[in-house]
Amino acid sequence: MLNGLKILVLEDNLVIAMDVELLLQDCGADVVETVSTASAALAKLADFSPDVAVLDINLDSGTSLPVAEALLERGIPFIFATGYSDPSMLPEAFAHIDILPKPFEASALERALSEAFQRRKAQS
Amino acid sequence: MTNDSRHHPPGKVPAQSHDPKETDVWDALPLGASLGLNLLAASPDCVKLLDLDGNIQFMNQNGLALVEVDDFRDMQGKPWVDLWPAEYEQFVQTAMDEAKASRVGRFTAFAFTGKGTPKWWDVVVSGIKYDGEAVSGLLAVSRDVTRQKQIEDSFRIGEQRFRALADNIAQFAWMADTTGYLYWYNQRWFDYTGTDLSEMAGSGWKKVHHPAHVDRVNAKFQNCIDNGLVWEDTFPLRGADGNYRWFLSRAMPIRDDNGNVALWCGTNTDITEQRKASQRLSQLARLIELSHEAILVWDPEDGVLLWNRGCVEMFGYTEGEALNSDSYKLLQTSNTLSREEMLAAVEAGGQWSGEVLRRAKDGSEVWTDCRLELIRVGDNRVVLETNRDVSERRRADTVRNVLIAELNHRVKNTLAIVQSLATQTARTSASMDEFVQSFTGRIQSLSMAHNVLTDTNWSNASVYDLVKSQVDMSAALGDRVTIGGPEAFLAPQPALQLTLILHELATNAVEHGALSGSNGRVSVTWEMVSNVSDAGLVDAAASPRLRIVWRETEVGGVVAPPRKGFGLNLIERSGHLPHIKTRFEFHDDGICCEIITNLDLPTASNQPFFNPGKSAGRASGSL
Repeated sequence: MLNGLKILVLEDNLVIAMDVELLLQDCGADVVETVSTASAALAKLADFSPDVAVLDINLDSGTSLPVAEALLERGIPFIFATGYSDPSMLPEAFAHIDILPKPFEASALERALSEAFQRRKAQS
Repeated sequence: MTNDSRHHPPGKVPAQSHDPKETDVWDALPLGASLGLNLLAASPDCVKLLDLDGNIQFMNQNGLALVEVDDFRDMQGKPWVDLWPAEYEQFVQTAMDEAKASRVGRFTAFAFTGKGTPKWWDVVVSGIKYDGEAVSGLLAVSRDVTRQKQIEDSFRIGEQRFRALADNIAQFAWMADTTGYLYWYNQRWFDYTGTDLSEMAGSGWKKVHHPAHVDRVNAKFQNCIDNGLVWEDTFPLRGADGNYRWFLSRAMPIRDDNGNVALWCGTNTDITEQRKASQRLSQLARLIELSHEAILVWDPEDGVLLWNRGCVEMFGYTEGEALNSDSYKLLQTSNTLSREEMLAAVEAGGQWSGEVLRRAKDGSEVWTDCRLELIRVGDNRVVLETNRDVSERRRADTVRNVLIAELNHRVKNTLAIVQSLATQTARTSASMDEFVQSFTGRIQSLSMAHNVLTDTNWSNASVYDLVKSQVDMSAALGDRVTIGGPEAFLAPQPALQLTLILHELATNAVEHGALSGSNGRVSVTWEMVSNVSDAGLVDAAASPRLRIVWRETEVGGVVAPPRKGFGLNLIERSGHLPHIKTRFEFHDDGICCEIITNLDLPTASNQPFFNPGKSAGRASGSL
């Protein structure tokens, strides 16, 4: 379902990041770029234009919201992944973004990313 | 008839009637008698001449008007006694008998006029002696005394009414003369005090006064009497049972038409219960005033009426600032109903309660458990409001909720890590047995790292403890495993990462490396290093870091595996994380792994483990 897609993963936990990477490759993703901080993600976006992204909201230092804003600006679809059950801390601008609760199943991640990508494709 | 031009005999006063028959009577009388009768005829009373048999011979014009008879002929010659009701016939007869005997007969009786008007008459009957000899006729003069009679009656009824009123009013009543001498008390006074007028007359009232008050009361009373001033005083009076009750007493001077004091009217009203009630109220008010709970009373229209000390303490506004203000507005009440809705709820149900957010004078927020109760005072309604400060509890609730959310987050994160470990372990496991062994080992290492962190409340982890938890230090291995380094601490995330790496290294050592054979050695050493940048370059500005070296020696036949497993992947990828660097090398005599990571320095301003702003912060002083 994610055949040929370029995907950005922002995840600060290495074990999870490695798992997600393999998982996305299993689903047919062409390129998976994994970063563990918001600043690394923003730097990565300078020369990498993903088709879709998955962002862990709470990072070891700070949150992924600056990256989410950058993605919104560029019209790149994305989803949030978080262990927090209360999404009310998210700013209004991200109210329409899907939130994938951690821990998640492989199929749930695949479906969420695929839907985000397809929705954006349909809009444009 | 008054402008009658007829000539009258000299000396005769013309009658007001020119009825020929009346004139005949006048003409028939001797001059002297005629003159006297003329005078009588002009009298405002009813004057009648009767013959000795008591038949009416004459009635003057005024008399006819009084008895409301238009034509004298209707009465002429009729027995006078017939005009009276039967019960008075005897009076009439007796009076006429007296007159015949040259005495004067008198009686007062009641009769109806010719037109049925009830009238009272005062009657005098005397004999007429035309020749100075024998009584030859009777003169009856009836005075209409109906009006006087009514006044007398009304006086009599008034007196009865006054007594009924005076004896039945709830108050005691009394009267005094202009000197202050009490000469009358109502029955209630006597009933209450168990006395009678003989005891009480004059200044006898002092007997039932309390000794501690009587002199003061008397002085004031006498002063008012002497100066014609309204008297008012409050004092106890002793009842017949010996107990005192309190009375509010007043006396007013009653003045005559000339403005002089004629007498004094006084009353005593029992106010014992009111005094008790008002004492209770003032005690209550004092308790309210002293309460540390914020208690206020407000009128929906007039604002705050009562503002106790608790309010001053809780909200910072003084009584002066709060009185007459709209407390809802003053305290910037929010997070609840509007003032109107609140008032409507109170009026509907009599009370309302809820937690509301207020703002004190200094701007600080105060959460209160607010209770409103509607109190009706006559036609007015006021609201009694009590407030208990629940800010502390709400703060504690907030902290607890944050902690629960954090715990929830932590658990979910850990589960996500466990799941990822399982997935990746499964990818590289050839059999279920291998999977179970590898996965259990990894979970075990994670669990031990959690233990180390939990010991310090998740503030940091001792490097020594972490290393010891992952490396087999059992006696069977003797000195083949050595660990050592200075006391050092890591923040939770680097600690977890290091633990996972150490576990992979330890597992590898047992399965393929130094501890798989009988000769190999493992040393785990660490040190603080300064001046090392993220890139591994010398950097004077960099803060001290921890450098751990896992070195295996005396291992034969060391070769790199054909495919990177999870462990090696993890170690290499860890090097791309912020604040951690790894280097992994295959040496001829065994592997070497170098890990450089940030130290948790007690003096540094460390990033809290949890998202700042959502966390209660890390525990301090754990070192």
